Amino acid sequence: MRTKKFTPLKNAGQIIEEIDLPERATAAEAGAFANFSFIPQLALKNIHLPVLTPLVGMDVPGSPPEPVFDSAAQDDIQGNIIPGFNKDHQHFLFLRIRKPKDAKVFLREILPRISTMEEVIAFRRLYRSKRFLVGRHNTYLCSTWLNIGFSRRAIELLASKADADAFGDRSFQLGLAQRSSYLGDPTSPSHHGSPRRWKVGGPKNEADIVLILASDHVSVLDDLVDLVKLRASAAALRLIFEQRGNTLSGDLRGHEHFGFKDGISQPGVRGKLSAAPGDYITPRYISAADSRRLYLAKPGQQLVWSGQFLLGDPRQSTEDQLNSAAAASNFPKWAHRGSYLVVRRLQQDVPAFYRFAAQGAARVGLPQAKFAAMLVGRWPSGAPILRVPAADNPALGDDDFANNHFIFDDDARPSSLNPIPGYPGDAFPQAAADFLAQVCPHFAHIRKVHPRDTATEMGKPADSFARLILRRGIPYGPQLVGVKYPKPKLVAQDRGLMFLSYGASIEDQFEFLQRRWSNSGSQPNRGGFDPIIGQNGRQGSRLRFIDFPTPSGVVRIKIKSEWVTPTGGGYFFAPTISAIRDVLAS
Amino acid sequence: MALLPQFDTPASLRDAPAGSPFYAAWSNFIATGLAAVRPGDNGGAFYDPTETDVNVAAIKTLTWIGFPRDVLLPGNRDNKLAAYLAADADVAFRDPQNEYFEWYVKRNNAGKIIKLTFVAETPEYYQRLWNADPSLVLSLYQTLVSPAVTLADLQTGTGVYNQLNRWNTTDGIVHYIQNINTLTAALGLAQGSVTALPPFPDNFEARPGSATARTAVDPRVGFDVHMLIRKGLHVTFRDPVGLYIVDWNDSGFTKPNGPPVGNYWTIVRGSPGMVLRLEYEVPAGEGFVVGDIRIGGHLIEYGGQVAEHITVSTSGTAGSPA
Repeated sequence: MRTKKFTPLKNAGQIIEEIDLPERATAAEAGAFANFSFIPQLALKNIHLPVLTPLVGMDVPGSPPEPVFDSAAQDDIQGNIIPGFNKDHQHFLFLRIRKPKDAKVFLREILPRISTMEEVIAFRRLYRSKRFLVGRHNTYLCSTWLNIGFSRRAIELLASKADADAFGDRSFQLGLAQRSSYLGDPTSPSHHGSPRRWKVGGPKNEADIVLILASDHVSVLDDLVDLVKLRASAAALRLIFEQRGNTLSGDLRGHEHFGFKDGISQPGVRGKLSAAPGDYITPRYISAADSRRLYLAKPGQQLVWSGQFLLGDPRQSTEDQLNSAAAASNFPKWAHRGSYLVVRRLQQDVPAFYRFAAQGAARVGLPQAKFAAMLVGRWPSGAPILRVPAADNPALGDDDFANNHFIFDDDARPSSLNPIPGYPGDAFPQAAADFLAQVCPHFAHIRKVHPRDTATEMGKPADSFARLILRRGIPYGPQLVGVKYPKPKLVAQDRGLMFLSYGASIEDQFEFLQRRWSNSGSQPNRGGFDPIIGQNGRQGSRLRFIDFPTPSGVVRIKIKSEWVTPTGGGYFFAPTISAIRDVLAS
Repeated sequence: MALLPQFDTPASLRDAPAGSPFYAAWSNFIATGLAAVRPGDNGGAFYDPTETDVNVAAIKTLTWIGFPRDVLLPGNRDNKLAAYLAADADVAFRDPQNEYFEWYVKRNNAGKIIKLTFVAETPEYYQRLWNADPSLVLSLYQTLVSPAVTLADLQTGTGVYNQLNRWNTTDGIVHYIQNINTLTAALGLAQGSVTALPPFPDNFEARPGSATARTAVDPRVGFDVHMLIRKGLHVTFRDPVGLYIVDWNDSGFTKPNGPPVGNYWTIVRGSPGMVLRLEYEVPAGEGFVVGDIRIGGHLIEYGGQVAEHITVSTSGTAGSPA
């Protein structure tokens, strides 16, 4: 029998204090902001590189058979959906169709340049083996990719109204601008986050086509961007907006502008690349003796059926984390194995975030770095606070077999992995159960959007598997975090995240995560809004709150300012290459 | 922590005069529904706080969606309109509304929704109030639904309280009528979640009795209660025991001309955090009705469209035996 004595929480269940932080900084705080000493300096040196070679040889025992993506399928699916470009430099072109016939010519021109799942997987394997050999991220290998997405209007112009109407996703039908207030976006016309003021995707500047161009090297990307823009212009496609994205530099590569490592927790897509044993799209590392092999690809990476990301494939059951459910059929036949693409240009106000972190930390008596980490649920390195509550641990943050290994409601059991060449094993402290959200609060970003083992307002944890999305974002704008003495001009520059996600339902996946969980103080668990991406659009209000756990009880901290603001985007559909060739470009 | 002397009424309502035997009857009803101690896995237990003393370590609020999940998933996964229609359809028995949350849709002659009433009140409460004094129930009906309600409307020929009276079905709503929406069922659900043998390590592997239910509330309570129990904790409902509307989100609700709606919600019974009756109606001066409002671009045509943005809850306490 296992029993623990639990120390009673002081003032359990009560809000012991409400804190109303000033919207303007005090003079002392202003001084600190001036030299940016409040932004934690990151120490990410001497990180060992995890080995991510594919393991071929054995199917997962007891696992249900998964769809096989043969060479023809891999050569047809766009590569940013699966496995994702993951490039340091990306460029986004938002285009408006003026002459559909000319647009078709353009599509036929770029068709051979659209990067496939097969190409991107092949390059990724090559890159990883090279990275293992040289022991550095920078291998000097280079590839350059291009993918595309179409709005509902584009499909109507290039195919037919009937084709456009046949897409069953109601949010895709309406478009991002119409769904904006539902996502909690600012509605006041004077707010710079109002769709009327968006750089792209507002009521008067919606894009029909989004092009995603990506490369390892800037000069190569520049060449491709120039070429594509030239051809687009010749095809009467109006360039509404373009945005360059770059990963942050140096030790902050892979981090977003607040300084936190991003994109750690992605679902593992179920499916195989061939019938060969063990030839999975998402490599499986959990040992055959561990029951978690059935629903995890590696520690913390939940397996999700491919139909959650590609229309027409078997979907994730909403009732059972292991099994598939019937494929969707509410789309035109030619849209099979395409994916809905959400693009959001999210501006980040780095000083505002750290001002809040400084003020909040002072009020609850915590170091600023710890307070900020509790807002995210991870330390800047990516190390989960549930595994290292006291301080950041860059080695843990960079260990892909350990940095996502935790659950919320129970103690995490040590992972048992198949032998991985060069990997010494996960010797970091295991995460203890945090069912009362004292360590990683319910409002913490990673707990909000990915509740893992926790039951939610939708019931069983299995439901959450069907909410996950494939995130493909990249920062834009100049880096500020980690710059010791930035000039005011640098501070004032526009920066943020080009958020991209793929899924089989905009409404049940992306919108669900944003509206039902991030924008709620009570879902999936009561404890406040997501302080990173959460928004409150109730009756035009912007006020959020977090219920911050302290040794004396819960302190409700009101959040009046905002540090993530939507400034553009769109809802698109990313078809297969054959669908573009045979339908949209024909 | 000392023993709880008596269970309070939901949201501490005082519908009967002070000193009425109703209050003791209500407390007895709750106590009868709870075993003194119901042992569970790993030394944990469910307990009656009037009979067993526990040092409370934590309070946990369990939340779930008001819209019936099993109407939407998995069958109507790709057809939300069908789910909205089905959830609203059965006015006489409200059978699809099985999340301890029911609603009534009032339309005008043009068929547009003019008022939505959401309730989290149990039939047991009204039955005991009736047992104490039928006029108390009549008075509530007259206040909540219509001054036209008569005592004869609410009872059978033998004077028994008729829960399925017209003012609680076709012509209005006061409390739950759906078959399994009872406080007795909620008490049973929570207590039935104490064991899930063999002792599972976490929620990915645990199979409490309600794990396979397609509703939101049953697995929510089942997984959460068992999660606490398997840590050796003693768990019970927080007093005042009840099912409560705890939150609602009207962001993206827009007026016919585009801007966000005003605050059109009224807490009619209960209090913030413990709401038992919630109404949604546009004030007369606004010049439009609920059915003219859009949610994320979709016109409100069904009560379920609003119900899916309402969160229901119950609260529990957990601790170690004193």
